[in-house]
Amino acid sequence: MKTDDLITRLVDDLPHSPAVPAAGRKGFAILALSVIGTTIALSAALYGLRPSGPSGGGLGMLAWLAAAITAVMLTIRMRVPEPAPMLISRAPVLGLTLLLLVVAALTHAEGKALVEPSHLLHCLKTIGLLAVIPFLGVSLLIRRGAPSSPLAAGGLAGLFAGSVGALAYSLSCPIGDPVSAFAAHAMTVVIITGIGAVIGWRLFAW
Amino acid sequence: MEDRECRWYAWMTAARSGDKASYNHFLTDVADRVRRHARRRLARSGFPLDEVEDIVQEALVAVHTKRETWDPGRPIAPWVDAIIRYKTLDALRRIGREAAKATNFDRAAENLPAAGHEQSSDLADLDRHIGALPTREQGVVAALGLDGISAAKCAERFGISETAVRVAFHRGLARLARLADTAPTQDRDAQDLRRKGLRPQRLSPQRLSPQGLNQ
Repeated sequence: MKTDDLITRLVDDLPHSPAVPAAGRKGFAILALSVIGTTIALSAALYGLRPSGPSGGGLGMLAWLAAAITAVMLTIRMRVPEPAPMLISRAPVLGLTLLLLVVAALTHAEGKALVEPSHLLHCLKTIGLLAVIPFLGVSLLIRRGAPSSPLAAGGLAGLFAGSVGALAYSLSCPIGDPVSAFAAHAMTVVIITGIGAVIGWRLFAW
Repeated sequence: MEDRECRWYAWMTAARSGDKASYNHFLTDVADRVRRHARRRLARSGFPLDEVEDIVQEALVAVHTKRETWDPGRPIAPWVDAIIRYKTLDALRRIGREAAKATNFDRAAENLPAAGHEQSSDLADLDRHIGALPTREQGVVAALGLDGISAAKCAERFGISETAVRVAFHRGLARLARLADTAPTQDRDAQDLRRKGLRPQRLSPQRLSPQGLNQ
């Protein structure tokens, strides 16, 4: 087909195919609040609540909440085709560096002492499961848009999902030491962010 | 830049309220910009320029289907440019992958029908399948796969870049594989054509000439 013919067809199609608008800020805010609530309820139902308060302390919970909100705000900027902010354009490098840090920490003696591999595996299973709903929710909204970088959008979706999962699971996590718990959760969130980036690379392509 | 922004903004705003003429102007102007950008990027990467119109069309379809992602409260030029960049990069990756797949000509040539006791019928099928390929791919597949000349010589013979030869060869082989899979249907089609007094498309020396390939 010639390009001029295509233009004619697209022009004719203008009134017949109302395009789907990208999800707005309000949509993302409602989604974030509802999935945070749902995930906390799910975590409490599946794993119970810690009698001694959140593992990693209140500061840890606040950190995960801040990470989730930041991820959502960056995702809102990323959802439409516009030049990405500097931080986002460097996100793949940042993500890879964090993943390497996790691997380095796990192979180092002090890292092993801080985060036992069995703890990390346990957190990966539990937080990974809890992150499924937030990831699906935010993915639905991202797919209504057209992110300039599907990889970075996927990473942000993973960061949001992992942070919400960690936030919810910190109310149930059996790890006693707050620093160890926070470190294990942080590594899990980094891994989920990486997985999200890989999934998003294909899922958010348009 | 400001002129373009004003023009596009006015056209797109009118198009959103159903003005087809404005939308036509907008898409035509965007197509010109994509064409220039794609031509520059393809030339810089050493890829064949005949991919330009594909990229233009992909970008136009993306602009059309994603038009609601543009917020009228924001400038339109960065939005269009982001779509153009995304679609051009996507196309460059695709072309690069196709060129890389076609790098090992010897191995690919081995995939062509092997000699055996049904050699003459295989060659006749091969001749017919090659005849069904687009003109440029016909010449490149015949030159590389059958005559066994090098990619560089083939590029020189047909007056196209070596990358273009690789892309055409890879596409030709992929198309041959598909044709071979649907051979019984093709045979039926050929019989139908003969019954109607028409000749199925054949490989002709004229279509294999460098002039034919540059059509």
